[in-house]
Amino acid sequence: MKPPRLASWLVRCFAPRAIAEDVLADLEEGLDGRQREHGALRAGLWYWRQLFSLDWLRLHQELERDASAHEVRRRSGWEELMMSIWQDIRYAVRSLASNPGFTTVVVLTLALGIGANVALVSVVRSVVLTPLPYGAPERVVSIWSQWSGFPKTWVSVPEYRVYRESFESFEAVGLYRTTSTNLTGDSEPERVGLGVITPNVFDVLGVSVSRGRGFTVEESRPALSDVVVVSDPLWRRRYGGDPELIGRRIEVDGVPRTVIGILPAAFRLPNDFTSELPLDIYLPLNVPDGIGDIPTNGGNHGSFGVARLAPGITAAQAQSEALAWNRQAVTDGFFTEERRFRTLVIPVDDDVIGQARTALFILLVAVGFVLLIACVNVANLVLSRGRSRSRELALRTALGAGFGRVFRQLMTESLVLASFGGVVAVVFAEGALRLLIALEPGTVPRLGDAGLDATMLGFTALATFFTALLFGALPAFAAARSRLSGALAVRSSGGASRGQGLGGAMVAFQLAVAVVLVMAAGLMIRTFSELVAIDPGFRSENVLTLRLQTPAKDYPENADVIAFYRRLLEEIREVPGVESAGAIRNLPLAAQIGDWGTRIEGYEPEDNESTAADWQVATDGYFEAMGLSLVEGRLFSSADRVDSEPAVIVNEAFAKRYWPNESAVGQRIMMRGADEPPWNRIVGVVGNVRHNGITAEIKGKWYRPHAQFHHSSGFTPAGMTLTIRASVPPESLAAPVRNIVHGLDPNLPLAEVRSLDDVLSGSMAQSRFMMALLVLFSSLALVLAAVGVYGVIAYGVSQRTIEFGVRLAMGSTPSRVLRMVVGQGLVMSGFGIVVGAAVSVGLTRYMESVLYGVEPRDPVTFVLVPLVLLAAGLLGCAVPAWRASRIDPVSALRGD
Amino acid sequence: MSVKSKRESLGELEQLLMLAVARLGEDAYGAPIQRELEDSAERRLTISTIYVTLVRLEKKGLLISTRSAPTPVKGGKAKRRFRLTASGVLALKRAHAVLERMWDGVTTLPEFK
Repeated sequence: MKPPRLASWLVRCFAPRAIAEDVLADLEEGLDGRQREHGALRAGLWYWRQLFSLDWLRLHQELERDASAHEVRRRSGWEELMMSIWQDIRYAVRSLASNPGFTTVVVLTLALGIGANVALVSVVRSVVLTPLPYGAPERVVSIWSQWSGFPKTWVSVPEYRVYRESFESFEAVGLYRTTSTNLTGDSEPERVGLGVITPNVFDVLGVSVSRGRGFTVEESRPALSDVVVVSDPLWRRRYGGDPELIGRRIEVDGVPRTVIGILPAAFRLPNDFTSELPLDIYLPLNVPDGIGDIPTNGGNHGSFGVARLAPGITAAQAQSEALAWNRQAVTDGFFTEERRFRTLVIPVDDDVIGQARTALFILLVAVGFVLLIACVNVANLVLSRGRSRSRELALRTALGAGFGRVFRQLMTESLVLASFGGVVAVVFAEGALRLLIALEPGTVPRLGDAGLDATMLGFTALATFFTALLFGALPAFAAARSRLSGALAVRSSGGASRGQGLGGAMVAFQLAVAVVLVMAAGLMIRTFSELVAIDPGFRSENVLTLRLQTPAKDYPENADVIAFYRRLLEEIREVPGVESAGAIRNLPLAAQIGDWGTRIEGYEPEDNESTAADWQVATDGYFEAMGLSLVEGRLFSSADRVDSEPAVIVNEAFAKRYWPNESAVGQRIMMRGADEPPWNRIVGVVGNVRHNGITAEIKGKWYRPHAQFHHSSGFTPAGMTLTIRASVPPESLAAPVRNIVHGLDPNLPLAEVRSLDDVLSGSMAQSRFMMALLVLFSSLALVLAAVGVYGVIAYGVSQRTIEFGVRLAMGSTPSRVLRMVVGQGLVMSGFGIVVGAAVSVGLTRYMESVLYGVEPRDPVTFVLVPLVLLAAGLLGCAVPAWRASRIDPVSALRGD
Repeated sequence: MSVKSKRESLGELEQLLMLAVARLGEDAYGAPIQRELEDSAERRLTISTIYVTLVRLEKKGLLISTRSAPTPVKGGKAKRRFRLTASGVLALKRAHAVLERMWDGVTTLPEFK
């Protein structure tokens, strides 16, 4: 058996040169014998065990003392250093092992602090620092539209044609839409994300397919387009990574199409990083050449714009060009002044990770603070340990160890402590990362890629090193400076005041940092309670939701789609436990909704006033299933058929706007667009519902019956979300509903099967996630700070035992001693708290974008948090103060 | 080294090591000595501890070491072999005699269960 290479190299380092070869030969022989008897593992361990002995040092000394017996070369400076460092490490390990309580507390504290930082830094690295998977991503921008009531919304095809044809700032502009589709044939039907993209989108993003090719311009012409590009995950998941997939035909929404390309594994379209149903299928989108006509207000806004900046052009310059065009477009009459239309040009990484970046930055600062507090705590522990060892250190100084030697010994101890902490931190970080990825609601792009690799381990080592400097340097300096005369001569009662001052300052610092953290957590708690208090407009409990889409090939006529959904809902209502069931085009808080041009009978809009409203298509049973409140009139029923009078239900916001003083029921409205759209009679008014987010503005909205919608628009929505209210746990209905769907159409996949409770809580997920993490970090900070106060006060009390004994003997009452100690703790804490509150005033404004319904300088938080911290400080000095008041004067005076 | 210090009694570890050297004869070098201490004296010592003591005993003149030629087998290495010197034998005998004298006359030991 070969000796472990590293171990034998170390033996060569440790053993005196004169006998190194002999020792190695002996060890090798011993290794062989033990391997034969006990196996390789135990033999290897035995070999390593041989290294860990202080006797290497004694061996050097022994040989040197007897220079005549052997030829002993003087050790080189390097060997000398090696040996003495090794000695320091050995000594540190022994000394720490002899104090397991201290060591455990310190190692765990450091591991928590370092581990949380490592976990978060690896998240930041994956989410923020890793460039997006595009060619020269700094030149890629997203294009959005904005107008009154719509701070950031889609672009229209006519706008896209303007950007493409006339903007000098853009080298190329692409357009895409996202939806979902069914994959059938070859295996189980599957619902997948579908991207419909102009052929140049891959070029705009600077991405080339990993296999096959992208789209040609010719292929985007509808008649010729039977080609499809697929994602890498789909290729691996559904087609087993088959290289022969290129050229094969697959069924997309029932239509056979030829696969021409497979995208790289990391590729995502800019808006697809956090989507629940990632895009797996890409079809070409045709947009004719030239600018063409621009309808008033730009036409239908339903696509995503993406552009590559011309060389040397910045996003800000492109934004200026866009603003110039926006003004021109108003002058030319394309957009009304009142609409306040703007084009937004946003660098793609701001667009994709901008929001997560703010949240992560806040969290990163928070964990940094936790580590800082942990370091101060450990520093305090090390400091008081140093004090209790002052005689040992003074003795070493007396025996010839200089300041540098003692300082190095103490720093080595800190480094060893931190290294233990670092090793445990890696375990913590790994666990924390997994937890983070599992709990994060999917709003942070590329979070799943975060992990611990060699770089992160390197970072951990670095963080560990600096942590050791942070907590070790000051105490080591303080201890190494204490001189023989000071430490040996002065009894335990003196010399405390300077250390006490240092400890007090550290405690104040800790509390200040903790105040900032708890403030942040407090603001998030306030935000979250504001969010929870919002009435979404529906009752979320006991409702199952799931999404279906009938493929155009199998359901070519509007009547087919209408009949399918009616039949499906009828069967679902028969299932035991189902109270009501309906379907909706666009489920609140689950998908974004846009508006539709609407005419209101008898209402003359002002010049440039928009009367557009959010549009919904619902079946009967939807309102009952969602628990929407009926304000007036009636809900849809099975009587609202294809051939009955066109009916419409509006929300309260719509009714109040146009008929503030009378009933909306019986009035008529019309959807613009079709050639001769019918007037629709308002049959009911329902309560407002939050749709594009729990905090989104509530707009006018109308609901049209699914069976009648095509009269106005020419089409019947094929993709609908079922909402099923149950008297049983809603999840238990998923299986019977699935059976009914597959009984009607075995090729129809179900998607987004979840309870309405989940949908609602998902809409607050990011705030909840932020709150949970900040509460966790600030609780840690609070505990650490309280422990810090305790440590310093307890040490102070132990140093002043005699003084308290004298005071009590001279007639002071225990309660006065108690008050004195507590008062001292409160002064320290109070100072820190005041400083922390002042710093918070400056820092919390960076949280503004993640807050809701609460000011960054929320008075409630700013009053309550200092009180909480003060309570923690009190708690920290309560025990030592009580102990001080119980000191027995006789034994205190006799004891020293 | 003064005569007086040569007279000082052997430590337990020193005795055990010298006895191991005596038992091993020609094979008294690091690895077998370490082994012998483990097997017969139930002392698990690291190689550095053993060498510290061997070197000290050599310095006291109780042991002497020679470096042998590599053993004539494949990969055979040179070995530092130890043997007792005359003063070493004397010291061992003296230590043994001290123990014998001390044991002599010990007829009963208290029984403990």
